[in-house]
Amino acid sequence: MNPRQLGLLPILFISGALVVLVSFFYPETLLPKGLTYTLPAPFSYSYSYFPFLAAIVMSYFFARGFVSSHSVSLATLGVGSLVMGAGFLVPQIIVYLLPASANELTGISSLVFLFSGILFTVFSTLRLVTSDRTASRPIGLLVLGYAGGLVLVGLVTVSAASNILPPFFAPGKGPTLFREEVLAVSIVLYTYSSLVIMRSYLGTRDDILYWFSLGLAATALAFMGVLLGTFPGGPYSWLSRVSLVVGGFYFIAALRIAYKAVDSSRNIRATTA
Amino acid sequence: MTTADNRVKTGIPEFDEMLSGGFLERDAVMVAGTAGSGKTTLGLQYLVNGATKYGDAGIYLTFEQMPEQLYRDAKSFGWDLRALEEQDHLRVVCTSPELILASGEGEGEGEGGENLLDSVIKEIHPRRIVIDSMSHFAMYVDNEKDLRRETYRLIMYLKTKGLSSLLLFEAPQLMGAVGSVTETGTSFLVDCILIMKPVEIESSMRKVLAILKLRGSDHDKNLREYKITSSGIVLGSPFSDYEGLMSGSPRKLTRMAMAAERFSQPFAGKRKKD
Amino acid sequence: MSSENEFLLQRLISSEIKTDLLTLFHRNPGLVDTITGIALRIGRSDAEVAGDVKDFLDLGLLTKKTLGKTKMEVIQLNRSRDREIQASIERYVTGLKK
Repeated sequence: MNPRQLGLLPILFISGALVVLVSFFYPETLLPKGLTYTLPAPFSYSYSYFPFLAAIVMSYFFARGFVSSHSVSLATLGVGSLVMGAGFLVPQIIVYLLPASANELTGISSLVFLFSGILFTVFSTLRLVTSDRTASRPIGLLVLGYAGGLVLVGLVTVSAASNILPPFFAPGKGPTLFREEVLAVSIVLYTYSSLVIMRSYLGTRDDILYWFSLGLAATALAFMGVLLGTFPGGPYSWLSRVSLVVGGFYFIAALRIAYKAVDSSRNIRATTA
Repeated sequence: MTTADNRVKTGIPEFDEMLSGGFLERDAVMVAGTAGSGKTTLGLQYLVNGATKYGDAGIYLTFEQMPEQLYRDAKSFGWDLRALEEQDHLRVVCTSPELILASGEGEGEGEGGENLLDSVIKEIHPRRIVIDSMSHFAMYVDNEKDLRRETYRLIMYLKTKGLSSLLLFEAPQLMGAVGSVTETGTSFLVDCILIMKPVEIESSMRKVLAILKLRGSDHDKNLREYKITSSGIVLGSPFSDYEGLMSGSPRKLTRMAMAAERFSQPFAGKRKKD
Repeated sequence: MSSENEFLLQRLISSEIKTDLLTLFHRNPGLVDTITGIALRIGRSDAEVAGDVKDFLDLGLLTKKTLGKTKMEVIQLNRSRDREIQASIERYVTGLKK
């Protein structure tokens, strides 16, 4: 089995596990205490460290690529990755620094992932229908995009804290319909982007696209787990956490391909010099 | 003969790849380089390869170096220019820019005199010509306006005669603070612009070749290292480890920066400018 | 025949300037220049070289061309005639050795 085939196994396993869960355990009911587990308070979001790091590195890489090529596609992906990374991190920061309700945390992460999904979708749709464009004011676009992404995350956070947003989570009842709709849209956007990028991979056979596509797909599966589940610490919740970590690994695999290519071209130059 | 798709190959494989197969037929190519960058070597190699590999006869028109010096220099690369001249595959013509300028006025017998190059062209039916150098030529023209006119006249004469030309320019500064490649702004008259430039990297001098412009064809946008070896110019791989080479202040790209470039490459599709 | 070649040889190298001119054009067969330019290249004046250049023109070793409206006259080597002359001289010299 080659690395690409091996890499498919985790996402296939997660998909299969989700199908099994939906077949036999949907809607989710509250399991006895011994069969559920919630991570203790300082580590409640520790599963998101890895995907957060991957997203931030990708965001930097896209920014670097944009600086030399001025490609609008790269700027879009860079901001999307930055916002996605923020979605992994911001709830953690809130938990550590401020008292925050489940509604606020749910609202922040749901909306931030929605916005990153929109950005990935913009990239994917542009890729399908038109040639990429070169920015005529690259520095302006870079600053506007990245700062704008952070400002957007900030606005969402402040809005959630100020109770301006519609409710995402009702204590005692669980996630609201609005939250489920937002999550469903995010799933569609991430899945669509993943499929478009996989289609690009099939055309170019560039492995970076393959792993990035799987990363988006695993993240979409994670959202699916959250959508279908009800109780923190239950099987859906854990499946979605595992899927997020797997997604992080897929993104890291894409980054690793880039490093390997650099090292191998340096080795070739060293031996032929 | 040039190739079937009307490309005039240099005979340097990696260079022809950069040019998507070679120069376009009858194109006027400006080769701008600082002193010692290898312009003359490239010019000679272009003609020698043309003659020996593709059956294209050529003319080396020199204003600066005497032919005996060129014969000697070419011998060091293993090129026997005298032998090529005997086979009518080459002519090394040494003259003064003043005479080329005089030639250009009232060409054709009956109107005045003939063009200096007419008899050579009739003799060997060349497909290629190298002019060394247009910087020297420019010294004989009084002002910029006249220079553009005379350069245009010369280029059109060469094209009319079916010649694919390399016009060598010595440019004291390339990129950096200088906007136009030649001091007199004649770069718009040519179809292709090549830059040959030495750069200092880690206390050693290395040479960079870049294609600035190639009308009517795609070309490699990378800056490539080249070396002048005992068999002529050889192109190396692109300078992907460095940026700022043309500005005169090269900076080594970190491994992370290079990985970032490589990572983002497949996501940036075919582009058009906003 | 041998007297013709002897005469030819004498005409070719009858002066130092002619020797210089022959050397210049044999080393640089593609040289095309005015009499002034040619004189400069061998470190002489127009007046010094004019006579010898004319002799070579009469021999056919050099040819004269008129350029452009200005009708500037340029001199260049006639390669085929040069080859002929060289072949004749070679035959003559070979004959002498025998």
